[in-house]
Amino acid sequence: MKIDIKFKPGYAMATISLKEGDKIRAESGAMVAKSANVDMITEKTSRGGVLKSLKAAFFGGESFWMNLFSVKNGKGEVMLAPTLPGDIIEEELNNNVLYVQSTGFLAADAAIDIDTKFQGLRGFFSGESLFFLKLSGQGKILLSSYGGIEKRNVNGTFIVDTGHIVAFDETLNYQVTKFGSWKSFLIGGEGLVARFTGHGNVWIQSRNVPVLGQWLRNSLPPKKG
Amino acid sequence: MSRFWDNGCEIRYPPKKDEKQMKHEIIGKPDFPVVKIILDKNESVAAEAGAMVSMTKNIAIETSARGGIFSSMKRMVFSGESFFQNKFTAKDGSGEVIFAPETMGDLHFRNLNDETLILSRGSYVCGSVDLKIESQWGGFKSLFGGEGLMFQKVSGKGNLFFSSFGAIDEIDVKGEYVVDNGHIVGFEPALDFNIEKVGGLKSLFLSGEGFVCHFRGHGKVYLQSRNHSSFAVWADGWRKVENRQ
Repeated sequence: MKIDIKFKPGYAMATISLKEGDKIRAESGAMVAKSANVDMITEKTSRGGVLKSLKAAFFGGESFWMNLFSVKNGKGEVMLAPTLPGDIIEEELNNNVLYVQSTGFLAADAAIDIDTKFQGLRGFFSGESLFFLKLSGQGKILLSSYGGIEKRNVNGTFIVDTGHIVAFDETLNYQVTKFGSWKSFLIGGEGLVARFTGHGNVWIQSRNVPVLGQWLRNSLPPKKG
Repeated sequence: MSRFWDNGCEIRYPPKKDEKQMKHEIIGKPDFPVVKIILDKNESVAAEAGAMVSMTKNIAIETSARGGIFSSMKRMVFSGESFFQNKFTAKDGSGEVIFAPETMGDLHFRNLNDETLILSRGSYVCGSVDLKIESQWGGFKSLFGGEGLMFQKVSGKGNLFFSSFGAIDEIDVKGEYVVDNGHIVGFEPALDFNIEKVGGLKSLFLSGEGFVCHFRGHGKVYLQSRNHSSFAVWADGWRKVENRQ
């Protein structure tokens, strides 16, 4: 499986060359184009109930359905892109575990296990669209960011605004706290931050997804319920 | 590279090699480009309403229903274009006009030499006044396409500037290729296409992929790296919900 990322960093798009036996699982709606001999199967990622996933797909909330791409005969390619403007980077898992923020996940080798039922960080986060996927196994993964992306090696303590987190290694300890004092938290405009400690990588994005959402929320007229 | 706000007082462009080629420069590719066009005395350029960013004071604007009222009406109703289009002409010497597309994303130049290009709605930004722009129905086969229902057919001889949401990629199709409807910017009419669903029945509702365009033959397809419908759906999800009274 060869991955080529074009149009970095503003409107990145990944072209994945597939040969027989290669399979890649992508976020729903991520397909831009594909060769005619590339097959797509829609499947549920987690082991959760079908009804629950159906409910999520139809009534908003996160889609737990992903698309699995493979090539029928010979070689083929599939192009993938995220919804928001921004970058894509390729990483490789080698039996380690990575937590990826839901909008930061673009695609992964089918050998990678994706656990959508992981709720560890949910509830701490203010924005409802912020929840994390737990990725484990061996293979290539593609992360996408709103804005640019930077991989930061943490050795000690590092503090990141929750809306700017794309992914982080399981080896890091994290604690979600308010920003500074109560006064800073309430009027400092930073919301919640994650305090990472230990050794590992954090991938951060240069724009904040919930902030864009809030901006749209305030700019768009309300819809009738 | 000159910046787009440099004014047109000093014109550093070489003389035109070809009578049909406008002096132009696309600045700020690929994220937020604009096109700066240097017009010779009495030379004109046509543009979609609202595309102008800035211009020198010697540029005269003429607003008209290009191609007649009927064709403008058709263009407005079916291809999402504006009813009126503007024609910019340099008077008393050369002048400069800068145009920008509506969306975040790239701007592409193509010189049409008695050729035709099919663009998805809203892609046309500006171009030679001689180019003919018509709205074209994609036919019954595109009925399920939503996006692809109406296209803009640009034909003739002249310069064309079209835009995309995100970056533009040019694919030379030889045989078959499948593109998500929301990612099509344009294609050459030599290609035959069918609107299809991708995957099985389950995929129709749950894949998030909607419909795709299955191209066959030889020709170019221009695709964009972001999908405005997906972005709009995402943005809509953030809207406040008001309870009905």
